[in-house]
Amino acid sequence: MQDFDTQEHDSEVSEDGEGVSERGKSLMRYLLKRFILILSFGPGVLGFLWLVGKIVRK
Amino acid sequence: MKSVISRLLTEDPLATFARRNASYVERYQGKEDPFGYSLSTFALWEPLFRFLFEDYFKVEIKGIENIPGDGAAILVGNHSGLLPLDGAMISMAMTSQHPKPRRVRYLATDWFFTLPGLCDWVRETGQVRASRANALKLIEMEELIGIYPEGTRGVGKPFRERYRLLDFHPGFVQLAIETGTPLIPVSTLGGDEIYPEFVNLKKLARFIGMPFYPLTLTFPWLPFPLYLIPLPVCWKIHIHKPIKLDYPKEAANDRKLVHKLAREVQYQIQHEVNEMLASRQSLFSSGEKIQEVAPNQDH
Repeated sequence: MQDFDTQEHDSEVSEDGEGVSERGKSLMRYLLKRFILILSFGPGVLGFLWLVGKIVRK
Repeated sequence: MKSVISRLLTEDPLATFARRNASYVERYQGKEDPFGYSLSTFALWEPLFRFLFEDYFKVEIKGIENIPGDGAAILVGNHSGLLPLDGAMISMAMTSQHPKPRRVRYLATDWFFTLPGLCDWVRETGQVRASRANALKLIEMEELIGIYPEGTRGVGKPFRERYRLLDFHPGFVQLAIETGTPLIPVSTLGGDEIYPEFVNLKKLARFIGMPFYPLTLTFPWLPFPLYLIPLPVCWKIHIHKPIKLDYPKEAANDRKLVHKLAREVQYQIQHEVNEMLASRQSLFSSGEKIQEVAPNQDH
């Protein structure tokens, strides 16, 4: 009985872990999408590189 | 110059537009539109598109008289140029060169209506979300409808495929047969060259939810709004004679017939585009090919 409880507990933990990693992945995808959209329609690749250059030189 | 700028900034755009185009304003002022058209928004943006039409692209229009001043009609054309400037140029022709100016209601892709900010602008300048119900409603309202049956595939074409029309979606033929509305084919030359697209990154487009992701001379390299500046190519637009499809309403369900008629319209437009291309002297000048004249033998 004790073993059974432990196994059940373990599986819950792994499901939670998967859920967190899934959420993390979808958040990363969302952020990447936003980054590409903002980069493309905002400063553009050259504008972005210029900004990075400015920051690095400082 | 200073007075022009100060006038633009201080004067009511609608009043300025009304002075230039009184009959257009009279026609639409104070009329409610179920699709959200706003005359003041149109009047605000009209000077920019008129500049593009008259001075930047120097659009040559042929056959404007083929578009009726009243009643429903469907304009069908070849689509090109990443941004739908071809539609805007035809709208400008209808506003400034037609004897009875009227608006063109383009059926626009769903994607435009998902973009916050832009969706209101698209609606207020006269475009309508593309759907059968909306098209039927527009015909009932006796509006002039604009359809680009190539859809976003047409505007996202790479430069090497310019002026090669893609297969027309036959929905416009079904609509014309069902409602007995005349079709008016429109051939446009110039749109395919304003934003030369080298590659369409389809996977990236799918990832970020865009219909296409082009790599052009300016996009995505230059910052906003520099990537929006098109090449000053001279345009030619030829509006063909209206086609009345005299078929019974049931023929709209005949897939074979509908596809055949759609192909015929497509080939008619393609043929005219080819002829205009052959007669074009240069990309950036509006002149036709000059016939070689034999030297005068008298001297």
